[in-house]
Amino acid sequence: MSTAAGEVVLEARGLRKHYGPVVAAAGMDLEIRRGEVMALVGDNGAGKSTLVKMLSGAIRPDAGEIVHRGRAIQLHGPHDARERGIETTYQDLALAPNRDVIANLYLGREIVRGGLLKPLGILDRREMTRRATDQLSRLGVRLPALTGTPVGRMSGGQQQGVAVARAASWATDVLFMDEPTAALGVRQSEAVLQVARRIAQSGVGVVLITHIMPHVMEVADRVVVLRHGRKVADMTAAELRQDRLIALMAGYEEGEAA
Amino acid sequence: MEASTYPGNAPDTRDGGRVRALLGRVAPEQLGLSGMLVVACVIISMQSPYFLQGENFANIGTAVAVSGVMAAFTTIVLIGGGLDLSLGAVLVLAGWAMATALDAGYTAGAAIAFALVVGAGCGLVNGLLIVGVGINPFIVTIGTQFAFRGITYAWSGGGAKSTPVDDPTIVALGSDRLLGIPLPVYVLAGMFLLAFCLLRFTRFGSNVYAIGGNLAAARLAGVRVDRTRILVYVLSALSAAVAGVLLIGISGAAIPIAGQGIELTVLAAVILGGTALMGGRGTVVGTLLGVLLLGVINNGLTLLSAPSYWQMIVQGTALLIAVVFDEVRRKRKETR
Repeated sequence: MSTAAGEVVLEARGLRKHYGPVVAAAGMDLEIRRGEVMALVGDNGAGKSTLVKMLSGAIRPDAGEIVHRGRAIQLHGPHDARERGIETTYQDLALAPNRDVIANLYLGREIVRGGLLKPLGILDRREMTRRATDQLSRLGVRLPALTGTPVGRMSGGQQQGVAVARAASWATDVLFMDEPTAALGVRQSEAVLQVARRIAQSGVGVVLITHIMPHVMEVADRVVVLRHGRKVADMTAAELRQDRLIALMAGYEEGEAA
Repeated sequence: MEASTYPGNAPDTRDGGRVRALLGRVAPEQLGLSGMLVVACVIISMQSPYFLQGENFANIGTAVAVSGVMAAFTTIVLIGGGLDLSLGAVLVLAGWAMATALDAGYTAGAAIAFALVVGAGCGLVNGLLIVGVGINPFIVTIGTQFAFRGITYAWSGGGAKSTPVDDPTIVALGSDRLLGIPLPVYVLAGMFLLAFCLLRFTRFGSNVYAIGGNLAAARLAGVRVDRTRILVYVLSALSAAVAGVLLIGISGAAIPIAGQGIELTVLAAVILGGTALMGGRGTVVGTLLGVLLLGVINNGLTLLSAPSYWQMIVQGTALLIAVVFDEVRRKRKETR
């Protein structure tokens, strides 16, 4: 990665989103830095998903600015974000259950044979398998079989591994992970968190949405707390004590950024 | 995902190697179907001495060619989570287009090309209504089934009117043989091979499986979902146009009332072959077995001089049994 760790790669400035009378985002600011794992926490309805969806192109903000690599940008859809190296893993995994690992990792980005056959779109499974094998071992994701076995037959942790590996393979700038450990056991969660850490170390800004406080404490470099569509706290892990975090989320204590 | 202390992931090449990698897993339902096919052949051959003659196999091949050509591509439609009930109507409309072109003095090649263009147009209409407007494929293709057949009747000056086709090339396509095998069987084999390769080796096929399995996920992953789905309906209608050309070659006439309900025969073969009615799963090989099984049973009923309504009863029952099996598979998968 040519760009320095700690550099702000993606920024939200005063993002607002209303659904009729409901204010989902009431002017949100966020700075995502390369090499950092940021935990985005908050109660249900705090605006976490809304914020991430705006930053990943899934919904358009009503007002405010999105700044990528120092330039204000418009995201017209998830495709737009992906082209800029901004990837998202979704809570419901978004995998094709009857396809194998390779097909899922390259879903929508299949490698096809070149030359005269190129217009036919003949898949180059060998090349995809080779690259996927590399990528998975770099990420430390261990799967029982890359070819031939539908991912729908794999465990929840393995499926999460596929979803994370897919996003990580293409995320050069930012990776949003929406509740990646919600359905997982302790050991599997541990593995996913390790992967998040590794991706950040490669120079990507990782944003982890989670309800599970021990995971926040374990992996996050920075913690951002949202409540009622606003950011109420933004602090480094060193400044953080778990009791204070829960108080902020529940609204017993006002943070400095409110 | 397990802890990362394991060695790297290796492609799964343990048992089976390249052949299995090429053909894919042999599903249990395919073994079951092959078994049923063998049992049907044994029973019929015990009842009729004609069954095992080469000539009879040629007859079976020609008899299943028309519906089989469409079954190959209906497999793709169903895997993609779609449905095309307009096949029989596209078949006669494209066939009538070819007959008209021949009448006007065009060559067989040009007339076939015209039939394919008309077929592709029908598929585009289906695709645009289903994908562009977002209407349920069941409703759309029932609607276009009536519309396309109605257009054929209007074009032919009334449904009861058929026209003989004596173009030597077209007639040869339906009745000539090469190495003792009827030409329609070569067309059938070619179309199955094409559908197989599309599903197995191309980006298009991979995307069709993904769309049928989880449309939202495919869209989020950046698959060009709309384009792929429209193409599926165009290919399906093209297969119906090919079937229409074959049928005229075999019967020697363009008959506007032909092919009514043939889409149900096609669906029965495809679902019998293990393709999921709800999409995401299925194989062309399974469909081929389904086509052959229904063809052999129909042939047996004919050899045993059973009245023709028995074929309807058998096909209807086979479709229902296939759907029940599909539902059982789906439920078992959900509760697992």
